Amino acid sequence: MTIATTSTNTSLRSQSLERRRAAIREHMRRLGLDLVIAYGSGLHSFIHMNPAWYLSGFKQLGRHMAVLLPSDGDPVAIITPVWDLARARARSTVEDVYATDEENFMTLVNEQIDRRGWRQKRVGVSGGQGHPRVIADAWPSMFDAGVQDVDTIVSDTAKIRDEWSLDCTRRAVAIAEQGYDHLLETARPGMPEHEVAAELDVYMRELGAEDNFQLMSASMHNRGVHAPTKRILEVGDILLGEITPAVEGEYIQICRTAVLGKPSTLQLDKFALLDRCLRDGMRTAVPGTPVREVVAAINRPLDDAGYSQYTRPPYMRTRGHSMSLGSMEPEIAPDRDHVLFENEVFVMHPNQYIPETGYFMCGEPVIITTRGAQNLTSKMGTLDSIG
Amino acid sequence: MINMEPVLKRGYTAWDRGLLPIDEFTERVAAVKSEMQRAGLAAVLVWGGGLAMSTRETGDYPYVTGATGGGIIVITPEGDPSVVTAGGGREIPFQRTLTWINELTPGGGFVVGGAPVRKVLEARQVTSGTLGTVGAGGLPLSVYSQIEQTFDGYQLQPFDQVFRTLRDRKRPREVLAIRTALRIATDATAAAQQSFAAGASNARALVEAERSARMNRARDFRALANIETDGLAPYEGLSDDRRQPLALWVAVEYNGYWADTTLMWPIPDSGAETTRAIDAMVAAARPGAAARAVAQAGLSVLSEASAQNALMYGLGNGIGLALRDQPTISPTSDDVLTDGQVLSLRVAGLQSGKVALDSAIVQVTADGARRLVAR
Repeated sequence: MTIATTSTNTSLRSQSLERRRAAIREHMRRLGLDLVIAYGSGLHSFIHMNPAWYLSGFKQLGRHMAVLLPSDGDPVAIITPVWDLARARARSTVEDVYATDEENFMTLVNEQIDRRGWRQKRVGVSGGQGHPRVIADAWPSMFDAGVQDVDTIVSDTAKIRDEWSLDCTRRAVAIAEQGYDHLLETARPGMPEHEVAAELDVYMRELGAEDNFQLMSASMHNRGVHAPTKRILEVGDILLGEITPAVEGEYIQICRTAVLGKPSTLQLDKFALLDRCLRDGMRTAVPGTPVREVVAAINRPLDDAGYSQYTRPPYMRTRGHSMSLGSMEPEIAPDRDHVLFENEVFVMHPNQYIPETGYFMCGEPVIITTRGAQNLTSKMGTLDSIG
Repeated sequence: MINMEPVLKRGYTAWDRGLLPIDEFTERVAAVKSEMQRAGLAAVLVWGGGLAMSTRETGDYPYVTGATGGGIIVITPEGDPSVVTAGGGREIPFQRTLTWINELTPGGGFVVGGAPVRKVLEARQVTSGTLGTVGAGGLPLSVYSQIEQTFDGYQLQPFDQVFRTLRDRKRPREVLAIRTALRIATDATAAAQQSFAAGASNARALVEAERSARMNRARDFRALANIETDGLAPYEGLSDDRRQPLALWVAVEYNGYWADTTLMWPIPDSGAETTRAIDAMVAAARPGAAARAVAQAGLSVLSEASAQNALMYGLGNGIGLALRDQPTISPTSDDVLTDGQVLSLRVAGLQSGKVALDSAIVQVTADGARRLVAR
C-alpha cells in the first residue's frame, strides 16, 4: 500500500541534489561569491522555502541547520540536535555533517568557517521567509565583508523542477488522490469533521506522506474552509477538503468538494462554472505568460456570470501558488509580476464563494508545459457525492 | 524532546469553553495589564506564530486569546485586547469561534504587518510611548524590519520575560487542560502498544498512536520511536522493521495545552534504572531548586552510558502552552524552579545499546513535585 518511502531512487536523488548545488555555484560565479550559506529553521512550512533541506536532501529535526556551500570544494552541513547525527549522515547528500546543540549552533558554524579559512570570503546567505531575526542578524558579523541575501538564486533554481522534485511531487499526487478516494469511502453522515480529517490524514501517513497541510470542514453553505471541528456531518452538508501531502518536502495540493447526499442541479451547475474557470486558466498558462493573465482567464467566466465582486478579497486571495521545497514562485495572484516558466509546478485553484451555493473548492496540481498547464492528477476533481 | 513540527496543526480545532471559560482569560489579561502598568508601558503587543511566522510555539498568543492561530494581540490599558489576525477576512468567522476576543481585524496575509496594529493603537488613543513586545525576537528579519519602521514614534521594548513569568505558574484550569492532553497521549500509547503486541512494526505502532490521538481530539501530535534505529527517529514513511522493545515518545496538544508521555513495551527487565532516575528528579523538584540540581539527581542514578544518552536527548523542561517551555532541566541550566510550574521530566537511558524511556509530568508545589494524572 505504501506509495512513497524515504527514497525510491537514490541515484536520481543524489544526482539531482548534486545538480542543484552545481546550479547554485553557477549563480555564485556570476555574483562573485565564494560561499553560500543555506539556512533552515526547522519550521517546514509549505509556504516557506527550505534552503538547507533543498540543497542537502535532509529534513532537519532541530531548530537550526546550515549548509555551507563553497564555490570550490565540498559542502558542509551543520545540524541540531546531536542525537540526530546518524539520521543526518544517512539521509543527507552532503558527506561532511556535524551536529551540535541549539545553544552551540553558531559557535560550531564559526569554528567551521575559521577552520576552512572562509572568514574573508564573499558570502551569500539564503534563509528563506522564515529566517529568524536572531540568526539573520548574526551572519554579517561573522564575515569581514558582511553577507548578501541570496534567496533569489535558490528560488530561481528550485522553481524549475528537476527530476527528483518531480518524482517526489508525483508520489505526493498519488497519495493525495488515493487519500481522497479513501475519504469518499469512509466519510459518512454522523461522523464529526475531525474524525473524517483524522482518518484521511492517518491513511496518507500510511501511504508515505511525511507531512500534510490539511483543512477540512463542512457546512450547508460554506463561507470558506477551515480546520476540522466537532461538527457532525449530515445529509445536505458540503464537505470541503484542501489536501496537501508532502514527500521529501515537496507538497502538492488537491482541492475537493463533496456533497453528503445527492448534489442539486444548482450545485452541479456552479461547480461546472468553477471547472471551466480552472480549465481556462490551465489553457492560458503556457511558458512566458504573466500570472496576471492566468488570473484574468480564471476570473473571466465568473465575471461573465456576474460574480466579479466575489473574485476579490475577502472572498478570494490567490488563484494558486507554489509549495516547492526551494521556491514559493509562482503565486497566481493579480498583484504578482511573475512570468511562467516551463516545468514550474503549483496548485491552480479557482476556489470560490458563490452566493447561491456557498464556497466550493476546485483545484489541481499542475505543471507548466508548452501546451498549457497540465494536471498532475490522474483525473480532474468533480463535485462528488458521499453516502 | 526535540521533534519535527508539522506544517499545520491540522487536528480537532475548537474552543472547549467548559475547560477554559471566558473568565479564565479575563483574569489572565488583568494580570498582564497590571504588569504592563508597573513597567510603564503604553501597550503590549504579542506575536503569535501563523503559517509564515517563525515565532514558533511560545504559547504567548493562546495564553491571551485561547486560540492557537496567528496574528498580533494588542493589549491596551483600557478595553479588551484586540487581535490583528494572520489571514484575510474570509477566515474571520471561523476565528471568532475559537476566541473570546471580539475585536478581530484581518491582517490581510499570512504575515501580519505593523500598519493595522498601529491603526488599532491610534483608535485607542495610544499614539506614543513605549510598547512592550512579546515574541518579536523570533520574527523573521524582513518582518521585524518592517515592524520597526511602522512603529516610528513609539519605542519598542521586549516584555517577554515578564510575560513568561506570568505564564510560568500554571493556573488550576491550565493544569486541567494539561491533564486532558495527557489522557489523549496516554490513550495513544495504549493504541500503539496494542498494535505492536499484535505484530505491527514500530512505524505502524506510531501511526496507530497518531490515529488514536486525532480521533480523541488532539489538534497536534508529535512522536518519536525506535524506527529502524536503536535510538529515536521521526516517522518518515512506513517501515516493516520491528524492534523490541517498542520505545515511543508521544506528545499531544489539546486546546493549546501540551502533555507528553513515553512507552516501553514489552517492559524491559532493566527498566528500573530509568524509573529510578525519574523518581530522583521528581524528589528533587521543589520551589527554589536549581534546575541543574534536578538534572543531577536524575543523572546520579544512571550508568555512565545511560547518563550520556539521557543528556543527549534532554532531561525535560516546562510544559503547557508550549511543548518546550522554561525551565530547562539540564546540568548546565541556570533556571530555578518556581511554585506552580509544570514540568515534563524524561529519561532516555541506554540498556544493552538500545534507548530506554521513562517520563513523568509533575507540578512544582510547596510540598514538592506532584505527579499529574491523566484526566
